[in-house]
Amino acid sequence: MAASSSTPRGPMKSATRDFRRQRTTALALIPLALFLIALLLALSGADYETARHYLGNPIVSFLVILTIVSAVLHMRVGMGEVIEDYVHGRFFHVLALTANILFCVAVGLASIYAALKILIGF
Amino acid sequence: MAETRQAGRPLSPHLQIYRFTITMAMSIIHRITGIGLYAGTLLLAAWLLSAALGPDYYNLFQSVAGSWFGQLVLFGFTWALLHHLFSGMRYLVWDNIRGFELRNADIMSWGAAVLGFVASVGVWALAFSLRGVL
Repeated sequence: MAASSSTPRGPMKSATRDFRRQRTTALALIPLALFLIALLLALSGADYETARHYLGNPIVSFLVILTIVSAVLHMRVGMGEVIEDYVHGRFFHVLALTANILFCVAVGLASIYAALKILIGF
Repeated sequence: MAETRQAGRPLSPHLQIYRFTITMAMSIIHRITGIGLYAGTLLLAAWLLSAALGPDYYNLFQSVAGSWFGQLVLFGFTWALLHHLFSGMRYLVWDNIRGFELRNADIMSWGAAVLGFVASVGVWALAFSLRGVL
């Protein structure tokens, strides 16, 4: 097994970049997570028109997108760490890391699409 | 690794021999809440999509979110987010090689755990009072 891991992958290839990304997104997410909670609080039990009114505000929309992007980048690294720790074997390792990236991209794109659709109304 | 075991050498100690510490528990909970939040972004995306796709979808989302089960999940999401937030701040402090004294590390860990829970209850109390329920 030791010989087969000669090709750099995972932590050997991108550890420093991932470390920095996890920290910068963490810092960004301190105010952004509080913003998200404030938004969810303001819209808890809100009807459709109220929700559209809030989410249609350009500043709110911008902050929502910023939150999503930061969160998705942050959780890609975090789940990557979990996979490095628990998913062994080359095939499942690569499969899990790929699924992780696809999940984060999908959630990110779906959320940004929704936020922009509400903002611009296409 | 397998050769080491076959040679009858001692194994490294397993989890159960370690004494419970708050930093250990918080490390585990940090990872669990992180995984929970990872899944929780699906709810966030679903909420935004429902608002984008029209009142029918939005009302469906709201009725599921408003059920007792939905409320339970949303409280869990709130707690996971706030806990992970406060817990994560400890790591940002530790990254700067500060707060590693056992006493300080313990205080920061208990503080983050208590803050995360109290803030979650506070947010929900505020939400219910804003809706006039409480």
